[in-house]
Amino acid sequence: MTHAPVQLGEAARRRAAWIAAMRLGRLAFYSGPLPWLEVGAEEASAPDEAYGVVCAPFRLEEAADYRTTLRTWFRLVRVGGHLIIAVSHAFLHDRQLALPSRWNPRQRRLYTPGSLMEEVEEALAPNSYRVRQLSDLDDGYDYDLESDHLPIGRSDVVLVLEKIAPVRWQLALTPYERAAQPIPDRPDYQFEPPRTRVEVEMAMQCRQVLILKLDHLGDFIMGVAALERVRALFQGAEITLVVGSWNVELAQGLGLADHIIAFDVFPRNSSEEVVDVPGKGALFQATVSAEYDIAIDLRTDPDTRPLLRLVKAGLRAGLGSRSRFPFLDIFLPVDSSHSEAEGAREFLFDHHAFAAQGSAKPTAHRLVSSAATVERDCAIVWGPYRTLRAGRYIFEPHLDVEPGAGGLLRLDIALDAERVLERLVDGASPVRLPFTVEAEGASFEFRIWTVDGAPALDFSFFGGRLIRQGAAAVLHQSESSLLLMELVAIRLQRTGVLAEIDAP
Amino acid sequence: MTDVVISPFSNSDIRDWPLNHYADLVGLLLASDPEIRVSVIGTSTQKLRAHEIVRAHPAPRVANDCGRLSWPEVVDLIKASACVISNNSGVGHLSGHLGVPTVCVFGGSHQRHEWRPLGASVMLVSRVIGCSPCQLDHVSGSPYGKACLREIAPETVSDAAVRVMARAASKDERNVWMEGDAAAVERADEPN
Repeated sequence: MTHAPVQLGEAARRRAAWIAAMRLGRLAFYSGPLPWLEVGAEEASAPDEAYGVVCAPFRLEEAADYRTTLRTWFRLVRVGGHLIIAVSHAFLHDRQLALPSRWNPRQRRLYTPGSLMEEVEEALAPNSYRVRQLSDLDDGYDYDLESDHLPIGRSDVVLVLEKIAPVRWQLALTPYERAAQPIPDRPDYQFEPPRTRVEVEMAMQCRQVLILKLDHLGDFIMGVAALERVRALFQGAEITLVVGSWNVELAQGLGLADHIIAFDVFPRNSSEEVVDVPGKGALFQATVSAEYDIAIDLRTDPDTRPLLRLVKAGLRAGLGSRSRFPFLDIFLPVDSSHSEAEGAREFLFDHHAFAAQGSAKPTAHRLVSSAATVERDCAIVWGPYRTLRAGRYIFEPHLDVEPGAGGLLRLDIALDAERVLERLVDGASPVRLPFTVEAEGASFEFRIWTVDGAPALDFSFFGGRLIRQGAAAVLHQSESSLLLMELVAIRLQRTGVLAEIDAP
Repeated sequence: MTDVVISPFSNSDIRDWPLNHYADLVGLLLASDPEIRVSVIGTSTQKLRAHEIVRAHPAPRVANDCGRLSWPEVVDLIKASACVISNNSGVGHLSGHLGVPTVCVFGGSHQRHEWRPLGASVMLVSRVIGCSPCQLDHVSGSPYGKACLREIAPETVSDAAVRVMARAASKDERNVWMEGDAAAVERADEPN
């Protein structure tokens, strides 16, 4: 028979032959006296777990829904019984890598042992079965027969599953899952009632725009680039610009705003008069009383940001973090406080921040070390093991040495226990030890040692002063306000604002 | 046929919606529309977990495609799909980037404002919960068993998927949202 599909009757004959062979051949072990069923038409109505053997030769390859089919067959098997599945082997029976089958027009899939197992693992719950046999059956197979002939001999994959009793434990999803212990359903605290929110991204169309630029002449000049960006971004909008009275003429000359409002939240000369931004709030609210789609504060210093809260606006934008200004919808979280990382810093340590060898005597304000009693094989003073940020530092130990005593001390600085600097001192002049921290988080240590071959010195140690150089790593005022405007543009035109659907 | 792609795995288990929720979601999707077919995608190493999602569902309508597709094939599949449902993961970002209707089930470990997939075609589903953001990487660290995702019901995600597909079908331009999506805002089609 060449190039001709087998007749459907041939399929039935093949199944019958397979069942007969099963009872005699290598699978006979599984076909004992237990009640058994060859799957066909009646399994849908058959009772659960009624059969010791359920046998399914060449059925799975014709099933459209292999998952449901496998589950149905497996349902019929009782615990300890077997589901025996045979399918045509793609490499032996079909001898092809893609459908349609040359021999069976009803065949929907090609099988190998691997693909058969994959379907079983997909369809049946883990640990509901054990695989007792998975093998190619090629008894009597004629390997010399050309591939366009119907195969002679067995050309199947056979799988035998034993149904097992349910196990009491569950598979862990990941090795990181915590051990079985009571886990609270959710936190016992809440800031608002728990709910599931569904949100979408909304771009905003702003027709009424309010800009605050309330600072002085130089600040205003440095903000011109951002104002130009405002005009370009909101081409069709009506722009209202609020400035100090001293900048009104300049603002009018720029021609970037449709309306200009004068409001002096600062004194014209801040160095001579008291600044009271909160005290101007009510007057500001009365002066800037219209409604806007968006209000933007272009001042870099954060002191005017609270005025935004007083504006009637759909969106509020400014520099600074939302944790500090929760009313900001669009915020560029740059540090404009001129503090922390950017400033020069001085840290004072008293002698309590340091440890000393036993010969050194602590008093209320100092450590006293005597040349006569000092141990020479270890440091005399060490500490304070403070974690430092990257940057340039100077450490100035407060050391009182009896001048002209003729001895020496060795001072050193270590970072993460590696010496980076040492200096011999005889007490003649104050000591300043400059060093650089390259890696953020290095542990800083200062130590005082004796010097080999030289007499020690009597000294008092009071602690020291650590100075950090200011980091000149700030944005220019004009850059900060321009970056804010770019963020506003991105938010309005690209990333949008999240809006909740069906919000409570 | 309406092809829905489910990408249920991220690089961090704290971001993954529970498998049983995904399994229930598939059932809801199939029931919502007889034309829907589902493809669950992931890597070959994620296939065992994906079995848990597809197991209860008919094979002709729900495929476990983990490990079966090359990356270019995944991209083509996403482009051709009616909807992509994902966690906070790369496929969600890609889908939003491509303008494909996307439902992102976003856990509480990270801030959605910082990490959400962008795009007007994206619908974000997340849980309001007091312990978010915890910034954890693994479920084992969660003192509440990932309640931020566990408490997101499959029905909510299914509704979002139906909604996001309906919008895409009703408007040719996928990035235009109909009125009523949110009371206070409106979509701007032209630059401001």
